[in-house]
Amino acid sequence: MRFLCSLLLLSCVALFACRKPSTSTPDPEPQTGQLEIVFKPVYQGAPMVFFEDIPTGLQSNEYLYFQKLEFFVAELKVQQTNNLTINLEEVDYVELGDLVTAAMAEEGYTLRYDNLPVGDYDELSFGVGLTDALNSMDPGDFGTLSPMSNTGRYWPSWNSYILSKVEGTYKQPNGNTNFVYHTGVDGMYQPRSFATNFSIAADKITQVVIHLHGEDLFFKQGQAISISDDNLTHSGAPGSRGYELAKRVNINIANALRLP
Amino acid sequence: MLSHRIILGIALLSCSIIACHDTDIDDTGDLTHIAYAPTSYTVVPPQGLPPMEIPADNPMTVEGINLGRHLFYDPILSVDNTISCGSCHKIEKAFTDGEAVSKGVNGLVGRRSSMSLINVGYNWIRNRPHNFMWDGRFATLEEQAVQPIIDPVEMANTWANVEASLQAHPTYPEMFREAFGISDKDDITIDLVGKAIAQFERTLNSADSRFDRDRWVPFEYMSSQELRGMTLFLGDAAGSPNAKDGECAHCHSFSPNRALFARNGFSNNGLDAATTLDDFPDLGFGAVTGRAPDNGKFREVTLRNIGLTAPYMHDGRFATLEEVMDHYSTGLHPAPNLAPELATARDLPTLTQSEKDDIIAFLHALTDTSYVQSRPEWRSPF
Repeated sequence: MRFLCSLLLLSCVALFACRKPSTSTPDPEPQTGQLEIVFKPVYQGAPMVFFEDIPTGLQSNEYLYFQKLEFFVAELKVQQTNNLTINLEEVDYVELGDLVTAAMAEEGYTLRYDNLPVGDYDELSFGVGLTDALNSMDPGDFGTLSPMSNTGRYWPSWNSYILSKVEGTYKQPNGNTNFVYHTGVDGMYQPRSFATNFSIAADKITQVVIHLHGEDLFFKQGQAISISDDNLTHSGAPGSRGYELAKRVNINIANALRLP
Repeated sequence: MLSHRIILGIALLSCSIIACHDTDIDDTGDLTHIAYAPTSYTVVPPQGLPPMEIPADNPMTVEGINLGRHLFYDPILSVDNTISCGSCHKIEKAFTDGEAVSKGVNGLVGRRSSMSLINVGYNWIRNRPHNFMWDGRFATLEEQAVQPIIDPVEMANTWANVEASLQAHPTYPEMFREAFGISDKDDITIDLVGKAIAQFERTLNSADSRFDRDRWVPFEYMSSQELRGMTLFLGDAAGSPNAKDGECAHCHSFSPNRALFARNGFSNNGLDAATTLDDFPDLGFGAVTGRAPDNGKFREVTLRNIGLTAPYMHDGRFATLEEVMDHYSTGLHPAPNLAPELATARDLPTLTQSEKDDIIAFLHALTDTSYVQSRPEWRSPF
């Protein structure tokens, strides 16, 4: 017995002691590329330029003059064709108000994400606004690189972020109506997903373009907003008129986003 | 005879003592014999303000701050040695100067009002090109700090002159060595001047107003008038959807942990009428960006210490806060890019005098003068 144990022990020692060093090469660094999500404002198919009169298309001599259209996007993700989900960013911000020429509007506003695994993808998803969890944060909790640090996107009396802002003027023959829609408080987050096939190649940039259809913000049947009657909201308590109008604005922004 | 020898001996001894005194800067300008061991300095944020972000290429040190403080108050930066940064940024006026527009050397009149430096370090937003000045022309505090030196209506000097003056100074080379580790006095550059001044300015932080004490100090409260003013300042949804809205917090925004009362943006707040976007007498932000929609826009300043920084607006046109309130209430001028928050403000024209007084009372509750006595290190060292 002792002999057998000793033999076994010696065999184990010999087995591991005499193992040849591994000659395999280390796994190569996974290849990655970059994704750009490009938001392009359009109005009836044409680039939507800010600080310019845009014919509404409803009646002659009627225009929309946008000064600001911006919003949080959250839970940005992409999905590979094998159903693997890649998280891009927890929160980001889209600001279209600086697109003051047709060329700039055509170029759009770009969100860029690095280090995506090379491969084929078939879905992009994000939400317009902020989740309730994100909305419970404070701008002081973030460094200045985060869009959540800007107190101009925060409303202290609500203890809420301002999830989206749409500002401008509605010009009609019988007069102008300025509009300001600031949406906020919990319960307005609008998740969206876009089925789109794209590939990420090593060290290359891939773009996914999303159009924001300006005409759908106010004039789409079933979700229309009468600017003349309701030109202003700073949101409000759930159930209030201000709250419902703000939520409608957020829904309309989300629904106005479409793949080309 | 003996007394003459004694006198001569004393004279010779005195000369030898003076001649052999070990001066820190030798004639070659070499500074390497001076120790370079900077002491790291951490900006402790006041309660209610977040940690301050410091650029990686200008870490804070005790020596850098001390050098910056000296440079800030030294008229050596101006062409005729009469004007320093402190001439237009006085501690008693929250580091403004009480003038509509600042005056430079020879009484030359500028075109913009001096801006407060209290909490100025928080104006820096990483990767944003427009962070400082009324028109946002500077990205960093370091860049801004040295521009008045060459402005012809401010210090009217040249950077080359300043560098030469500092290099020839009896004490600044050593201070630059201790702050930045330069090897020779010729290594004193305007970039290092900007860095030192910026380090000093990043220490000028305070948030100890009645508003802050109401929030953070037990049993200290704002008055009922100040609280009414804050409700108007915040506007609707501040408790009641029917509350009147002064629209103030759109631009002068704050949060519990970032109570800066400024969103650090640029707006047209209705100071000048304009039919087109090119009509403005002062293009402001638009002159920097080159974009017409930015014409007539100016920086939204912090309202902290606003009670100390009269007169108001980029050109100091309003002498009092009462005039400011009257402007917002009934004096807004139309323009294609007038801030929509003001263009849609239903309640502003209906504010009563009592309501305006309440808002002004709240603005005064944002005044913090604690540092005037408690921070001697912010004053001139000369």
